[in-house]
Amino acid sequence: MIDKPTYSELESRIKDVTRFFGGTLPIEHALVWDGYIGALSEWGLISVKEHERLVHLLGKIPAAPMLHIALGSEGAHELMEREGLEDIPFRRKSPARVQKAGNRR
Amino acid sequence: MSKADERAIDDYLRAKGIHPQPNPGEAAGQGDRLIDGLRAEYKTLSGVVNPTADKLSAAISNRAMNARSQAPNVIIDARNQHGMNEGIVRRGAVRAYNADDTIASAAGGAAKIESIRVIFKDASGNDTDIIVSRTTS
Repeated sequence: MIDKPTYSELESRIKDVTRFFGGTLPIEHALVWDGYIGALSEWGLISVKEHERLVHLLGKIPAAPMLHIALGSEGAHELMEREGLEDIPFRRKSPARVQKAGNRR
Repeated sequence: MSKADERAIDDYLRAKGIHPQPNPGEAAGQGDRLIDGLRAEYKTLSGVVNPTADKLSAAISNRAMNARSQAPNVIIDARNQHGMNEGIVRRGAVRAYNADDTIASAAGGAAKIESIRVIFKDASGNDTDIIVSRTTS
């Protein structure tokens, strides 16, 4: 039996990765974390409030991938059109990995 | 949503001792009713032809997300949709919260939905409802 994840552990893991990349999560990492915590939330392993707090740690991310998961593709597309959200994920510049982290081996 | 649909929800809530009041802001798209002073938006859900847990929970999340711009408290009448149960309702509500949180993050703002109540028929065919609140779920 595996214990349920705790908020503090998830927060710590996200912050560790963010720190590794110099303070900003690369967009690919943020999107994977968004899916990861979204799944934990949908299946009742973390609370709605914990999900909300964790999403805020990810920085600004494109909504489209999670909307397709949460609403289904048709619903997601309709919502994005209605609210003027981009369906094409934007890219943000990946921060350079800090030298100190890069030297860790 | 028809007036008859709205009345059906009003009647259900009144039978539970809840007294929805007209919302002066309804015409401006600010929610259909005031319940204990809080804005609530009514929606109906029916006609999901392939009622798997995925499709039904997605239908709930879609209805909730359609309501989020009108009011933070969403009430969905799914009594005419067969196949609903507590697990599906909770999953659908959480999917809506996930979507709401993600849009808030993308837009750099705050999430909008505070509560989702779904009225549905239980396995015995009786009317029942579940509230999934952002703060306590």
